[in-house]
Amino acid sequence: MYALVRGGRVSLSEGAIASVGGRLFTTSSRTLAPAVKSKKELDAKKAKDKRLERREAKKRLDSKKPAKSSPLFMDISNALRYLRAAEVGRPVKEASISIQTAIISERGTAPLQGAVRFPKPLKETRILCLSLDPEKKQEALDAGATAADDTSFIDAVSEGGAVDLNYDKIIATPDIEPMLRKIARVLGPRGLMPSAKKGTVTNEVGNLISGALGTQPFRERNSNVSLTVGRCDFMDEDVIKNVLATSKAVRDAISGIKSKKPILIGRTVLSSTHGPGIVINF
Amino acid sequence: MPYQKIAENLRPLLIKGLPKSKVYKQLAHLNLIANYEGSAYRFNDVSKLELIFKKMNAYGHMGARKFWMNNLRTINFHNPQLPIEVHRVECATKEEQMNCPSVLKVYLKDGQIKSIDCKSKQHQDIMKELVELTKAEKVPEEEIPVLKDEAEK
Repeated sequence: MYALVRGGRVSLSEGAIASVGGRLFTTSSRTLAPAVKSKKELDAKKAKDKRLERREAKKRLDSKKPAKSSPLFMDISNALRYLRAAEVGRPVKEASISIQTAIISERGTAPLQGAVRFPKPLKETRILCLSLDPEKKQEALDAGATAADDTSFIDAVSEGGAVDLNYDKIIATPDIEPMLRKIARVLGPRGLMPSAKKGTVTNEVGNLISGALGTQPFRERNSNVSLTVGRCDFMDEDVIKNVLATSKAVRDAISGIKSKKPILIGRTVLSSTHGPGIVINF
Repeated sequence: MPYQKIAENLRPLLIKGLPKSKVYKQLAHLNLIANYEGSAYRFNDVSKLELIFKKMNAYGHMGARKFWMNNLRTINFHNPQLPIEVHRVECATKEEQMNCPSVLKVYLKDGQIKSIDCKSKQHQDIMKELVELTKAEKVPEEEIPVLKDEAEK
């Protein structure tokens, strides 16, 4: 036996002499010499970095040019004429109009995110507000509720008359809540019955409605922000209003982010499901 | 998913003979929407167009599909107020497929309903028949927008 055991105890990291069942053996970790990159590789990396940098600088420069300089530029109403033509004969739900905006930011900056509230929402949420307080009712209507009513609605439903129940949500204030039990049998099966547990019985009517009306969240992916802003059957003005709202929301989101270099907005493309992309002002 | 470049021979040939450059190809696409060959007409006497055909090409339904993809776009571009409906029928069995009609229904403003049989016809021929039937008015060349690159001008 040539292996030496000093003191009977050997740690593996030190000398890698171990004993298992009386036998002695050694292990050694393979040490590699640090990889020396050849000059060619280093040069290639440098050139790649430079190319990326140049591309970034060009992007920044391009984003300062007006959208009009693009050969594919059009105003929105003209662009919509082309998109509607491209979308002819498609089901209404399928033919959506979307927007894509390039965001030019430093590498490592947190991705842009925020939410838009469209003046013309893609899906309309019908909300009814029930309250005894006229002020609350006014507040609800201002926040975007479809209708506001008081005990007359409850009486009409309990008498079994023809009442418009085409709502997605009914919100009530605590003062009217005890009277609602009369019509719980009608509202319950439809899932409309307000309850404190669901959070639909509250005094803060305005906040609840504006929250429930739905804001469209957006997020930066692959340095682009894309969002659906309308359908092909929308009026031109509605689409323009939605695009303006998106523009404002994106700019707001940008102003909230801290970064060394300013975040720029590149070119914006309006497109539809099956249609071509057209550059627009944003 | 990062953008992956597709080899030239693997790309689907949607419309043949368009320029290779991205911008020029897009311009050509837009110009095709505005002015597809022989379909820039205004239909003043028509109140509605309805196209019915099968979902798959077989048994003579290709002409109707091509008519929808090519000509109807241009018709819509020049008649924005004209409602156009397209129904694509799903047929499971072969018998249904053989019996499925391929029709272009034309609702005239005076209440008449006329129909053009599109089975085993080419889309150019359907377009010609439609123009003859409705006596549509041709859009003058100078009113059709043509997009060009600034540098090309």
